[in-house]
Amino acid sequence: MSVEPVNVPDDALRDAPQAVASLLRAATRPGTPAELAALESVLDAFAAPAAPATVVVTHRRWTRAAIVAAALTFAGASVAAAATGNLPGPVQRAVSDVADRVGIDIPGPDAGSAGGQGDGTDGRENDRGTPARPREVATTLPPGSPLVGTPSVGGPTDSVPPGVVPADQQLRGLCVTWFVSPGGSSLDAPSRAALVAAAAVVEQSVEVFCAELGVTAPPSQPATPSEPTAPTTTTVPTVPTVPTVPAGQGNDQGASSVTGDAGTKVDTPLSR
Amino acid sequence: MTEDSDSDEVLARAKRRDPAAVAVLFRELQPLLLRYLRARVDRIVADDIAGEVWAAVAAGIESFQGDGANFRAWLFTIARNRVNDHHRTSGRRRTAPVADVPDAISDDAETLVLDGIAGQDAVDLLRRHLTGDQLEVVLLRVLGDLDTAQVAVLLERPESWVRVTQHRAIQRLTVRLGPVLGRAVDSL
Repeated sequence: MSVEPVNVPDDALRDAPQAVASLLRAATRPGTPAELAALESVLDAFAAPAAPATVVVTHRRWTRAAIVAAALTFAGASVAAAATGNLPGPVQRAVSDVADRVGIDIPGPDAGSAGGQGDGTDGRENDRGTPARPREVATTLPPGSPLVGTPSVGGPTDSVPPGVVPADQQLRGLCVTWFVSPGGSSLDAPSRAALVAAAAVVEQSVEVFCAELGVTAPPSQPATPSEPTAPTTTTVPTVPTVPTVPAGQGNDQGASSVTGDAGTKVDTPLSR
Repeated sequence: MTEDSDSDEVLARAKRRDPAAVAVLFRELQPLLLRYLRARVDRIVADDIAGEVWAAVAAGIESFQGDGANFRAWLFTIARNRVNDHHRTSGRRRTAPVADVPDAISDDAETLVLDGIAGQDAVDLLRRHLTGDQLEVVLLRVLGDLDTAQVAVLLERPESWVRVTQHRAIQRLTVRLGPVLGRAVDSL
């Protein structure tokens, strides 16, 4: 294996004159430093393979994995720490609050060690960092959930201790910043990613998502029209569907996908 | 992945989550993945989706069965599915806005070739001069290293359609860019 330009399939270039073939080959040139900037984060993902946020989030649905990923990105904390209740107390509480409101069980800071660690049956990482057994989890979004509908008033965020900014409030803050510049370019990358993820998991644009949190674009930058609301109930596996077709064994159905739930794609490899 | 034995060894180590092997895979495939994604969606979304793709790979690699070529096909299959998911949920058009293409590459292909065109610039040139279907086929063939049958499955089209689309793409590039690129190549 090398990082030299890859071989462009010969038959792809059969018809191409030299100049065009050169152009196609140029498209496969080794990466620039900018293109490779995400190496560390990818290595991190491989280092913590069974944590919820590294689970495949297909179709950007409001799945358990997506909720956890969004919340943890939002909190800027490690995935494994949150899943096992090991985040700093206030952060763990905020993450737990976000998840609780949509029916996801993430231990709060007071959960302690009793039952807080994965036992291999609840879909969480166990003590050895290996994946738990698969389990179907029904993720139901209450119609009144603050992440689906209107911002909460007197909800769980009211119980957030002093000094901790409630999750909704933080999201509203991100929304305000989002509208300051087109596309939220004034947000730093993690904050932008968190907001986009939070909106994506309910299959809304950031503008609609923020509007439902009570933050709208200034008159000069109107929000985009509403998009269809995501299904409020989604059943997803807690572990990713992984390829199982050995190479060359005639996966006639190819790679396109297997429909999991209402159009959720499951990635499978192509046979060659 | 250029050497079969090499790639199989690296893939085997990556499945054991050897960071060095993962880094090799990433350095080889991430540029291709990013260029494909950036041709399909805007750059910020492309970067996000690339992260999702690698997260999916990290989650599933231990169960992956296949060689290096299959791995690359798998990576691009995930990527295309994510792009389609994005288009479905966002209602955006299938190809990235032309405005995202740096102006510098649009009018001076010859200079780019003389200067040593970068991979992303080459893809941007393709994007600028091919139709959406042609671009998809060419990128999956060239960057994804998929054969026509695989592309056909992925695009849910007949294989003959893939071949014809590819042929027309090459013709179009030849007509549009052939002369200028030819001059550049000849002068090297």
